Amino acid sequence: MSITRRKFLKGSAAGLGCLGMSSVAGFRYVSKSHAEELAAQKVKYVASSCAICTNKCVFRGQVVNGVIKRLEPQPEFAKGRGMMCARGNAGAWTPYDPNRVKYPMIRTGKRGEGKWKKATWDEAYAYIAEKTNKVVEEEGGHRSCIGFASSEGTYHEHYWNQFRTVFGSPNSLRHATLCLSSVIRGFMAVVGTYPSVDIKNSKYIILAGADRAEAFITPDTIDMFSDRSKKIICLDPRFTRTAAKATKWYPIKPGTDMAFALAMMNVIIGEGLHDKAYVDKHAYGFDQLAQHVKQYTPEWAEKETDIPAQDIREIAREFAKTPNAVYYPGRRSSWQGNDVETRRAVAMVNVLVGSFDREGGLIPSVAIPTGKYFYEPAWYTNSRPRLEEDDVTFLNPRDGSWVAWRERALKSDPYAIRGLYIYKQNVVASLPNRNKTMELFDKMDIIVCVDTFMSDTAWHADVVLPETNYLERLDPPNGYGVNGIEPTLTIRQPLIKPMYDTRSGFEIVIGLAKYFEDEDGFTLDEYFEGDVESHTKDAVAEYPGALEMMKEKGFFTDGRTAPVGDYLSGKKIFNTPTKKLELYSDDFKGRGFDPMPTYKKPADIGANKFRFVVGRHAIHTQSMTANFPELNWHMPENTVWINSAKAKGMGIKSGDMVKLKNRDGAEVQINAQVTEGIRPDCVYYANGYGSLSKGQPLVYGKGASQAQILEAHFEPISGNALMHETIVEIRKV
Amino acid sequence: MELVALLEYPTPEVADRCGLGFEELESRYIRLFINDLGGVAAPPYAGCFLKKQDRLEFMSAFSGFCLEHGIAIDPVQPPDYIPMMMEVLVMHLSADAQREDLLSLIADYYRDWPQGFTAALREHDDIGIYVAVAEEFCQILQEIDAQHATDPVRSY
Amino acid sequence: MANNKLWTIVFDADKCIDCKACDVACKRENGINANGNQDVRRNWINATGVVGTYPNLKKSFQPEQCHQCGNPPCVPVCPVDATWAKDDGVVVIDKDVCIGCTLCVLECPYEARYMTENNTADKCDFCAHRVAEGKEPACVDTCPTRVRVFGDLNDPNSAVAKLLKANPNAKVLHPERGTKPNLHYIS
Repeated sequence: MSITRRKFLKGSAAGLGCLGMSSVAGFRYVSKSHAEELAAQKVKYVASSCAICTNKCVFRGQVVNGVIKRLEPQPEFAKGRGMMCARGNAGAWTPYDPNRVKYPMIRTGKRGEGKWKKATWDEAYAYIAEKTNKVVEEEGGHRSCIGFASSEGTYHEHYWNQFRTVFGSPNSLRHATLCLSSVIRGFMAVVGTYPSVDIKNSKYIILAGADRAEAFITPDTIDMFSDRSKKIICLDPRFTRTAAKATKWYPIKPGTDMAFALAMMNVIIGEGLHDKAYVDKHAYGFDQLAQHVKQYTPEWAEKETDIPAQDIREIAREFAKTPNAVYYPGRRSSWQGNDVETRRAVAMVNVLVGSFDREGGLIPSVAIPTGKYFYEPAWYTNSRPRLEEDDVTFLNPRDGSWVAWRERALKSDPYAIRGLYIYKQNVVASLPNRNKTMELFDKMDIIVCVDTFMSDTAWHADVVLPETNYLERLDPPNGYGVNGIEPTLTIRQPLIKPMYDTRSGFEIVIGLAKYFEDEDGFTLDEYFEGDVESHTKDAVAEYPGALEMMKEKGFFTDGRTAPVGDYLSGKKIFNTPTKKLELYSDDFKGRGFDPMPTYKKPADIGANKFRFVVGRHAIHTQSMTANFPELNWHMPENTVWINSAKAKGMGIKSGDMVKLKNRDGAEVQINAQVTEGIRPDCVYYANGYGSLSKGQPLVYGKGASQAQILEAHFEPISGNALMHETIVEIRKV
Repeated sequence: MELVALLEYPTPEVADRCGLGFEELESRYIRLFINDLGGVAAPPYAGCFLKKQDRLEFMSAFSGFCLEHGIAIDPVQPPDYIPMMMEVLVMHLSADAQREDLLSLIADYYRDWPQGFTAALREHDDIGIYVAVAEEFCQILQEIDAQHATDPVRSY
Repeated sequence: MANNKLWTIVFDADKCIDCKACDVACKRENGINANGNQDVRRNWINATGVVGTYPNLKKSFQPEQCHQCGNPPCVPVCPVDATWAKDDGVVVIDKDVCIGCTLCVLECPYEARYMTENNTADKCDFCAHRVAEGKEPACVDTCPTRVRVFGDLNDPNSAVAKLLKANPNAKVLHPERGTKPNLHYIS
């Protein structure tokens, strides 16, 4: 259907004349400017903080003629040590990216078909409310039939959570069980907290997994690699950039980290190298542990881990004898079924040498408290517990356990889930077993997605609501993720005005809340008071000068740092049942778990099979950034790492197309990258590539998706997903 | 200005004029200009079609130009939003700008991208309306150039 | 002569973790759009790749950019005098004069230059516009591990001068070419 120019454009022959005429009336975007606008500075700096990863580094944003030019480091921000990484720098482009979600959109075709219409916010809200209220009614008034997914990073997630609470659903799904729930539980069980690490003063660091050269955590990453006098022992199935920088790398067999830690304890206790005074005073259960680890010799551990017994012995000795030594807790611990107990073992190694609450070791974090943001809870008579309540022992009510919850939602057991409200979480690309996610989506009557880009998740939603970009927005101050040894409160403030028809999380929630009522007939927006400006002021009201400091520098600190030694001196009490550091847990025993970490050999994966492991890169944050042009330039496609010897045996060369198939039968196709730098029984490829769409620019259709190849399992103590329990076959295409 | 209007979000009247169902036109518009998984086909931002200049630099320079010349552009769109740039050009023309100013404005800010935008639409606009608009705009720019180039006053 | 500055960067490449912050910061600061073209970059990391046989492996990273040579081979080959070294040692290019003959790109032993889409030569200029305001180049201040230290080698009290004094075995790249480079590597 082609329309000729002349036919369609009336008066087109007089194109020039048309413009020459004074049709000045009718300008939509352009007008004469006033003196104040002319005085707009050519170059100005605005302090704010990044939102591209959990570190939230503060920067000084350079804005020229009202356009963001570069996000420069803020040298005074202690946790960031005055740096901006590749992703932080690339953020300057994001508000202007033509692929940003710009307007509320309602789908007109089938889910995933890509047919949308632009809606006003009210139209979108009304649509959402109508569908939601209908299914809630069908479910007998149970608000719990709607699941709320979100992840951290913006203050506005608090408002999303508030909406969920006053709406009345307990089903909150966050990212924690795709990441670090098990390490939190493991360390809580031993030292009563998930601590920070005083890397700056550490001299000897055992890094298991924790690819800090690529999975940035500030200031650990910076302190670890800018002082090359530190000794780093790296345990990882892959030769990562951390391994390249480490003093020594061991390609440990996946699933055997506990064996390594137990063997260390065997040597340290067996040779009397533990800090006796410290253990006597502060630890509970030493005698039981000493007896328990006798069986876990380095010789035994060598058979499990593939690390030479003599090396294990020497590492254990050096670790114990070096002051300021630490066995790094790690963070993303969604590895295998024994995660919680493995992390307990790691924590215990630290306790044995007295590395908790000491310089160079594990330091309990401190935060700068903000004024509490208080809101009235809503009351619903027929509330139900969350779906997977019985599946996980230490279930965090806000985080939930995604894999367990999804299983139940698929079976509608014990009750049906009819809708999903998703905020800042790319569910489709982040959950293992993407087929099951799509199955779940199929069962939903309503899917709402608040996002800033047309992610795979947004693409499959019914309504997409665009949030403002972090560089356009005020986020009230919080310590979130920026606590630690040098805590601050950080703020975000706009570098430019919000573009298109986007709204902040707060505005989205308030608008949506008007369309829902509680049981007494009050609309839910009544539960919200103030606005982000007032919340910002209230949060720091007790600190004179804080607001001004934040506006000028992007952060506030009153100079406080985490104290060292308060627990050892008795000033504070260890947050454990026995009020001591627990090398033996009666609590775990009472729940039917091993009271001390007890090794279980991982199942043999079978000949000619590979374990798929996940990992990180300094240029990418999970599935968020692969489409950012400046980051994509460094990795236009992902490729699967296969060990050289193994590949040779299979006749695979770098660049060959291969197919991976997991035990559920899910398949991906991807190019091979043959390398010495991975165990022969493991394979790996980067996250964020290979979406569901075909033949599109940048990442979509390029490479493969992790979500598609990962099998879905979870462990029942913390609810953490198990991302290293995927076994694949490979064949050349 | 007619062109600017046509590049805006379609209305049922526009759909009628080209004999299309409104939803058909709408979903194409969205796919071309607003949101598509994997990237919009023809992003309506001049900088996206500039191979020889960084887009953030271009936006900053154009924004600076507008500030210096007393033109306020709407911050609801990036400074290189094509309909907005068209309006800036119209404002210049209707303000009876000096020939040199007009030609340097076009040389600095209206080169290359109109052709790039048109080419993208040629590839992806299966209806033909938007290609027509883009081609018309290129034509207009050419005519302005031609008219001023042959002006006897200028060629001394 | 002694009054002139000599801008220099000293690298502790052992600290480099190949995170690419320097590349992205440079492109933002200098308004460079690579548009997918892998040649377009003012700085880069020389990575050895994985060396050795599993499990005894090594890999190292060495950041590099234009060396602002004291004896730059790119200058004399230019047929139109579009490139020269300033008094402070930084070698610059006048885009308006450059005719795109690519001789300088081909001549550079470090492959520091590249051709832009405008068919002019481009390369690192130590963020001259920032240095003029007393700031550091973008690659220097953005780096997580502080691989680069920037300063005036003619000032004996500068950090670069002190570092080179403390590291007499610091090396330059391709010394045999006689380029007198102003990038020094202490590791």
